[in-house]
Amino acid sequence: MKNTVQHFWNNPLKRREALTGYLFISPWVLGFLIFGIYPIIMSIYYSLCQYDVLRVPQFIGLQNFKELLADDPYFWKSIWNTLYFTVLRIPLSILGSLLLAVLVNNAIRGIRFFRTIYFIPSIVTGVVLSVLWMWMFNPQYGLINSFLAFMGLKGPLWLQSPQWSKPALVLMGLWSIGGGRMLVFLAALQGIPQHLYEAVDLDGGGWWSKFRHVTLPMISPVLFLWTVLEVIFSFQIFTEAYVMTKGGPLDSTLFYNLYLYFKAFDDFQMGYASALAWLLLVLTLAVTLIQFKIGKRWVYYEGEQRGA
Amino acid sequence: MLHYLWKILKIIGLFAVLLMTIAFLFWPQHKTNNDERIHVRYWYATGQKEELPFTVRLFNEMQDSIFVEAVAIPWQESEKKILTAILSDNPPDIVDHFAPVVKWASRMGLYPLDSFIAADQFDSTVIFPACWQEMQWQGHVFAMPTATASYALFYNKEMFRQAGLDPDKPPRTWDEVRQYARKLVRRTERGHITQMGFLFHLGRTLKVSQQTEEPLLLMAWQKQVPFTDPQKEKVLFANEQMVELLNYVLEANQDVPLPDQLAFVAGFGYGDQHAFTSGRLAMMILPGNFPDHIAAYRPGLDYGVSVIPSFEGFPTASSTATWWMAIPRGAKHPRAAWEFIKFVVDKEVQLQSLQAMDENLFPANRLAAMDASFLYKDFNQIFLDQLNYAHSTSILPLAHDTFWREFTNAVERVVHGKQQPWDALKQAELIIQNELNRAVAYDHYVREHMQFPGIAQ
Repeated sequence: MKNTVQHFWNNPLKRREALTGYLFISPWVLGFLIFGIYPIIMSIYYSLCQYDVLRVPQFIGLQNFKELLADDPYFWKSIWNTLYFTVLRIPLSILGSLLLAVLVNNAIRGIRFFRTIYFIPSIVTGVVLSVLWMWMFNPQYGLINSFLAFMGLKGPLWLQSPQWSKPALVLMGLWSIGGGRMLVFLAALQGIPQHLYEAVDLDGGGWWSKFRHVTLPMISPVLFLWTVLEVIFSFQIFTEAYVMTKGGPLDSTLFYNLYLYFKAFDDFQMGYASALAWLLLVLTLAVTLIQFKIGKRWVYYEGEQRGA
Repeated sequence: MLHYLWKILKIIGLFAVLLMTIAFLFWPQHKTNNDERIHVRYWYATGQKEELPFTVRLFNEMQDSIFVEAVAIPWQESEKKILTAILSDNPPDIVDHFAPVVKWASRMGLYPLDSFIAADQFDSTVIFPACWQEMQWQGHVFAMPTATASYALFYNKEMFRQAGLDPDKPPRTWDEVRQYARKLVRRTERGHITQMGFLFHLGRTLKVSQQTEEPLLLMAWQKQVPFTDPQKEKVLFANEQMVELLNYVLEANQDVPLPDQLAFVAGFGYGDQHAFTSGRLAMMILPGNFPDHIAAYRPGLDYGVSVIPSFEGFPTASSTATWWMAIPRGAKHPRAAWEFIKFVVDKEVQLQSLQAMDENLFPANRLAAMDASFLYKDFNQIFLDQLNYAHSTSILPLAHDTFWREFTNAVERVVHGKQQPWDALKQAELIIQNELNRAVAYDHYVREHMQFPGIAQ
């Protein structure tokens, strides 16, 4: 190791290349240190403080965490809401995208047009989408309840109902199943070698066998990646609830990040909000690690040998 | 070796040029005019328009020693912008804002104005008492109220006629409101509500979006319910009077089934989708600038304005919603800033400003509000009278947002049948008290470790 380092410093060409490289990445590194690492480190400190931004922080040790876990009913409510939303949303959104990807993977005439059409909704921004869906969910005049009424069904109150507000937001999330997720699934589907399907044909297998024994294992790394990402995205849900419900009715859409925002920017409790943020990180990390643990059992990587 | 050093120096030089170009492009633009006037930076929060405020134009025309540079900041982002500006020690000299002054004053975000007020012998009695009271924290004045929104009861005369009610006899008591409201409900053949008389419960979104005020709050003020002890250290939210009032609201709210109400209010929006402007709600408590809103979105609407109803034998009550100007901590030109602030609340300037504005905000200066050139406008006398019964919403400065969030949540839990009034109020009281205790303890710590900001004269 020592020799390698000495060799490096004695070699002017390598030294020059390294210095040039460091110089080129230095603006980004500086930016990352100042605007990324510094706030992260400070938020650890503030999570141990009573701090309202405008005045000096008061160190209170683990008091914020203690209060959050033991005395704050909204904390547990927001955890429950977020987990409920996550568990309901992820299977639906991933299955929806996968189904759509399978559909647009067919070599039919005009398929590129359909792919574009399905992709377009995903480019609408969060606030615009939220306002649009507020009208879609309108219990009296909204498209959804009008359609249900046409079918002879009485539609729910959606965003006005504590029971239906979270399912409504999940339904709204399905709007973008044709976005980036579908494209990645599509790419994964197109990367499956055709001869694997031919082998199933030779074995007399049908479409289900092909899907179960070829498609699913071959796209399992992509499915796994999106499951991990979707958990992280779902834990961070904010815009929809902020614009559409403000956490109501009856705190049924008080998601974790929304509560964090209220604490930070309404109440100016930055210390408490920092503690909330760190707990969210721990929660996300724990769930992701569990996913990785479980993922080993069902994710298949090409070139990997089981039990090796 | 020198060759490589030279190359490295060239790369560094390239970066330096790049950084200087970026710095030049993004460097704050300062006026380079030759006048020697003090340049005062003024941030004003605005919804859509970014045109220069009339008062700034007038002040700059008249002044030869101070020049006000006005910068519009988006209304929804204003709190965060002011917060970060103070924190970075580069705030403007003046901010104008709408949220409670004490929220900022109690956190040492503003300079006290006492020394300027005393030095200039500013007569604070010209300001409406409720507005002036809102500007104070622990015996110091931290801001100057510039305009306020006085509330009154708006009612749709056409809807009154259709319901067989006398359009010249608006309800005077809450019981009458309830009687009228029952007659004003209309449904489609399928049972959907198309119009209602009055909403006794607003929930957490309508108060802001519909510019209205929570009836329960007005009722509590009318009955002089204490929300805290006089020292504002103990929250007295759960009490017999509040339970009685909450039961009244609950009962009145049940005249129309809750699911039907919720479905109905989901269609309320802004502009011509507003509950009152769109002719869907016959009676609403709305601010003094609302006639301008009606004139813009529903010019032909036949409506009246009346005193906010009360309980039999109790006086009316209203709330203030005050715009104010203040000097944030770290401002570079506080004295010059004060000159502009003082100028804005001058009676003549307020009157001229009101004439120049599209919206008819109520002047904070009583003399301007009582001037014939202002009072001649429809209903302004009613709004003026209501201001005499106005209360400040700054009830618990150190736990302001928690207080109002819990207030709303408690009512919501009762209306949705999740809790009995006493339990809902008690739960809210505990949460607010907990928050208050934490805030008071922190406040004590800060006073020992931080200098209260004063202005270097």
